[in-house]
Amino acid sequence: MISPKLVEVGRHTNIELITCSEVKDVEGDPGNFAVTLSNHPRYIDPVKCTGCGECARHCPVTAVNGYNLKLDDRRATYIEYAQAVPLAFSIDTDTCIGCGLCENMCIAKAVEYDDTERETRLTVGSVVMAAGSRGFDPSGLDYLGYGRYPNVVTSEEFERILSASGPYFGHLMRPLDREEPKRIAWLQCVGSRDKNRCGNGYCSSVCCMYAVKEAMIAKEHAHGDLDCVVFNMDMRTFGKDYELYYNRAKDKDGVTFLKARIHSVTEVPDRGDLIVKYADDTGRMQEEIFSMVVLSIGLQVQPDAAELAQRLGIELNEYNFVKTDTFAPVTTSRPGFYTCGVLQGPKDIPGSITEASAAAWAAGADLVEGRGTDIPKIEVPEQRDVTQEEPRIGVFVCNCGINIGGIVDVPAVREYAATLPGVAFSDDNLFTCSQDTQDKIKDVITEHRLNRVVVASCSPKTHAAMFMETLEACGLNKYLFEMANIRNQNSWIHSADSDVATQKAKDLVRMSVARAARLRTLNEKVVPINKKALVIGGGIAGMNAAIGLGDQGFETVLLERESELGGFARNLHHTIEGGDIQAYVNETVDKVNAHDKVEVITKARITGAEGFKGSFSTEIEMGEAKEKRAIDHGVILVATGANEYQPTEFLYGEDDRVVTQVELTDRLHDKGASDLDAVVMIQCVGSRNEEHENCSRICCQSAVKNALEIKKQSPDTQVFVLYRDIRTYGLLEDYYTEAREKGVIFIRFDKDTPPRVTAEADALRVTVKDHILQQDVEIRTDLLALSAGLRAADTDDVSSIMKFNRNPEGYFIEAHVKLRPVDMPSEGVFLCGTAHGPKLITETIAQAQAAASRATTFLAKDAIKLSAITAKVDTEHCVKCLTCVRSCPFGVPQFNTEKMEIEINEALCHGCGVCTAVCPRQVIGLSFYEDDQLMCKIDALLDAEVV
Amino acid sequence: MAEEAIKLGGKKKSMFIDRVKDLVPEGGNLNLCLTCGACSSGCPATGLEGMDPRKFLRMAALGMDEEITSTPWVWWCSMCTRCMYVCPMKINIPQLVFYARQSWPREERPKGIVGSCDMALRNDTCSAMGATEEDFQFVVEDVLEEYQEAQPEFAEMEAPVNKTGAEMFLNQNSREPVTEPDEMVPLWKILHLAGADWTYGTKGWAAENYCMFMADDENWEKIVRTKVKAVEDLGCKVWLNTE
Amino acid sequence: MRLDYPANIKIILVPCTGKVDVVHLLRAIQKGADGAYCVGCLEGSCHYNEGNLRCRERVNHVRDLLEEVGIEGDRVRMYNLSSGEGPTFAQYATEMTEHIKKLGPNPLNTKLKN
Repeated sequence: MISPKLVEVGRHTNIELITCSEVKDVEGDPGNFAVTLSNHPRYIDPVKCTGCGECARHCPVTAVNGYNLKLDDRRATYIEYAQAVPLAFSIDTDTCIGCGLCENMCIAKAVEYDDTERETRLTVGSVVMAAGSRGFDPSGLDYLGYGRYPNVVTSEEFERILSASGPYFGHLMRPLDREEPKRIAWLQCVGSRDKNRCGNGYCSSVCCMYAVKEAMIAKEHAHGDLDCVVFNMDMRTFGKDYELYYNRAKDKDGVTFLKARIHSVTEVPDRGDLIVKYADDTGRMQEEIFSMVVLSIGLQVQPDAAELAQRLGIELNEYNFVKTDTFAPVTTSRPGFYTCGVLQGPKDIPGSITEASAAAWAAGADLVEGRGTDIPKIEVPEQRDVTQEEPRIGVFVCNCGINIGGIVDVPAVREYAATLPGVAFSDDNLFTCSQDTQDKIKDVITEHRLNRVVVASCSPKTHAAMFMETLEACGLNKYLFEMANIRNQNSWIHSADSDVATQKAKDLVRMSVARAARLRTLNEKVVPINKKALVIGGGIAGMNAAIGLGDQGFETVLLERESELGGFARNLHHTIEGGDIQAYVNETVDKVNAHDKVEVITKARITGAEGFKGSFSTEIEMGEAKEKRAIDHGVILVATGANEYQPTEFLYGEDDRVVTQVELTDRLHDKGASDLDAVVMIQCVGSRNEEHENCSRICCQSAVKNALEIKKQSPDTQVFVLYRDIRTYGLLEDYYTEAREKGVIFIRFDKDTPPRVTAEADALRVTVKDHILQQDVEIRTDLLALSAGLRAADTDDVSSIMKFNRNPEGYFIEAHVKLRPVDMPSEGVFLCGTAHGPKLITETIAQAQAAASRATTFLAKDAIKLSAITAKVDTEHCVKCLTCVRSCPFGVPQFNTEKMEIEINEALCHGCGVCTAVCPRQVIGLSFYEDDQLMCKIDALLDAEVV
Repeated sequence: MAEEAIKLGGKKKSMFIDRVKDLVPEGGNLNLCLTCGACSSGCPATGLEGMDPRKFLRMAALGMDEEITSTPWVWWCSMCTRCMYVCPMKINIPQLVFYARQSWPREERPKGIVGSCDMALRNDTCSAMGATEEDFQFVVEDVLEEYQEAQPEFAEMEAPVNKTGAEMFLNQNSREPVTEPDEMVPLWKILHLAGADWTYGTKGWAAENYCMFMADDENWEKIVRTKVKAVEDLGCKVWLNTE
Repeated sequence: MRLDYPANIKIILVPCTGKVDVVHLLRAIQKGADGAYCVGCLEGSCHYNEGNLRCRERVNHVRDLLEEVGIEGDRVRMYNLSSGEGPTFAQYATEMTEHIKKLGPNPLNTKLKN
């Protein structure tokens, strides 16, 4: 999942990647910081290293492999993992014996034993701190047996065990005897929610979800029945759709979840199995034997990261997370310094990515005036028209050092290539990807008037883009390029038999040459970008997104359905941290209204929409008079928000002593709590049930917030919170702890045995079974507060007019749950706030800034080049059966009722080719993967074989 | 369930747990329970008398004072503190148990413990089994002699009594000299091989303190003071109590 | 990752298995391939939502068509794995080869040669 991101970072022309280095000091002010770096020696020049791995293959030294958490070995000359960026080896001098073998083996001459520590300087305008975290080390918790019993592993180690690139190649095995486990226990909250043994009072936010995932994957990998038991205090699956996954694990896939914390783990002597004893809910002792125990370790800031932050003058909280303000989630205490990810607080991947975009927004907003001034510009010569020429194919066969050349008879392949139809030139190179070979290829293309290029080397995934740039750099259309992967698919696989490998290399080259001859010039459509943004929704998310875009210098129109800005936040008083929400909303409304780049339109309604990324047009009606107006814009930010659920449960609406948490906040604000003897709260009202399966994420903290407020105003008022799992994730856990400390009583109930509420004249009576005493408790209370979940705002109109997909709960769907949490599936459309799913104000602000950031990457360009790999319809032969319309996963093909033909907008097409394969008339083609371009490969392979 | 529901709600009333919180450092974190059950899963007394540490704390938290101050379970607790060792909130359950014991009238507390406390108060040995100074010294010297003879490699081993100025003053549970004298020897051997400079004392030698288990603060203190005096009288720097 | 699998496997790259057409698979068998198989993302995690499910349907259709003309349908198969699963890829390649070896040569080849 992370590989494409790594490749993107590595290839991005605006990103300079400096590895193996540490920040020593940062001096100066925002806009002009002088950074001192110490660059540690890596002993292999990353510029010269091609990543071929010959050095490591010949290194005689075995070292412990830290990447696989010491579960296996590597060499002293090594690369951390196969997808590492830069793809360059380095030498671990702690274990290197200096034998010189790697230096001798390296044909690229990249090994430099005399490499030394250096100091370099950088000038930057803003700084983003993203030093992340490390898993908690459970060695100090002697009672869990980690380090003593081999089959007690951490969750990080278990991830490596499950990984195909891990120590056991993805086979489910336990460390002691490499047997497949029959029963695995996960122990949650190791190094989290523990003020006694490790001082980490916070919740690490991610462990519940990863434990569920590990159990599910382990079950998939197991050959027989695998019993998985997750011992937990609360299951905290509060993320978007996480509850569905948890329910599936529990109800369909048979993962057992037990509410118990284990006192100690012991080993069955000689067998390596582990004994886990626990007290069940009835107080009875249970004993179970497991083949493995996985410790779900929490997240923790690395001491050196904390030290760095302190050295740079960044304020940290008591747990060493970077201190940020509720209303400025990525801003650190030092001007010009921003933060994101787990360094700011425990969070999952979508949360980290969202904050990363927010931090990029903040870092960029400080530097708006200088945008585009300090980045390299690439000049591309005019393209040569080769459409009328017969194919003249150049074939470049790569030795890849000895990676290919050591096995495949490369000269024979080169000579064979020369005999193939259409080939005008063939050559072999030591490293085809090296800079000097690129220059050579350019010369050859010009000299031999080549109009197609085949490179027979490694994977197009990593190298095609670079070779295509080479073609462009000498005026050849970049789609006239084809790769034969004779390394990963050949020399690496068939290294035992040179003849077989050489023959296969010839086959692969023949197939590629056949395809190359059929490649056509493809031109990427250039779409100018309208540098205006449209933000839909004027709550906290929408206002921040609009201000965010305005601050980046882009004209923005902010649409609000109601007559005033503010959204649902208008109903709220303060955040759990004590932030004054009304003051913040008013300040933000003033700011957005005063912003010279932002136009606010209230009482707005969207009535029509067309266009695509970079060039949208939206029709609206505005004001009382429903005045019509069309807005042209380049991007859309959706921030339509959500509201509190209006319960139908527990006498709500029938008895005015039953209120929602939001109403309780109002009550506490207006009347205080001194007149209340007791207050009962019920959690998960309208959430985590049949109609609304997901968790609403924020209600546990709302309850804790109000409980604390009651205790503050009236310490003798008793507060009882009836809950299913308390989900005060991350640093919110401290407030849960504080609530208990103040005497709030928390009683857990099952979904199937909810509390019973009866109304009496002088009080309400709530009856629930206490989870520890297994006995009914009957609470007389003055007030019952229901923690009603969130409900997405009514967006039927926006959704249908603008064709934005929503999930069954009415929240808009992002492009990728994990990796693209702010992007919508249609390009140029972004999403933030509770329109995406329930979240806190601070998370909403981060996501709004992130959406502004993502939109900025779009608007900063004058035009975008669309991929040329798109589907095209031959309208003349199309019978308009609409199969493509029904089949496209992205709803791209449309039937134009005026022209009476199918249209596939190339700006929207993702290029998957599904429509081409379903078209019964075969009149849709996917450029670059045309039928003849695929069929010829089959023919080239098999015709020769039959002969 | 036939059991009647526990009645809660209304204005907060004074509770036992709150009184204990005032007596224990940092309130013993008694309010912080996450009901995770780690305490109960490691407690040797879980299940006895239908009780376990989590349940006990829970009853205290819900104000079920009568139940927690009357359950005989508190007398099963050995004050081993395993519960507190792993408790994520470091809740001082042993102290809650202690004060629950204290709430019992002396005459209703377990006879064995009361008797042992009373016995220890009778003479300066502090022995809960009533062993006298002379008895103890005789047994030690007798056993030592026996081992010095039977095991030549330990011919030089010592078990000094009342050695003034020794580094360590070692206590000894009464059970060994009275019923299993041979069991004193392994520790002597260890101390001998380690070259330790130690001594027993005829006064204050007994390691146990049943007055503490009985939650009898006054006599607990009295016993401790007697022992401390014995250590100081011999001028020892370290007081080694193996209990 | 350097893993062994039989050399008779040759890969043709498509953007998504949803792009694989019935005619592609039939062409391979018609031209004498002893077997052909598609390797797509794990079900439920198609990069393009459900291309792999469509491919599986087509593979099943091709298997039926082959059976109808007297060729073992099982010469055509569908496998699923995630991009991180090199060893699984190798395992499927080996499995497919072993399986095709058991079936023997493509009957069309024998006919062509006789």
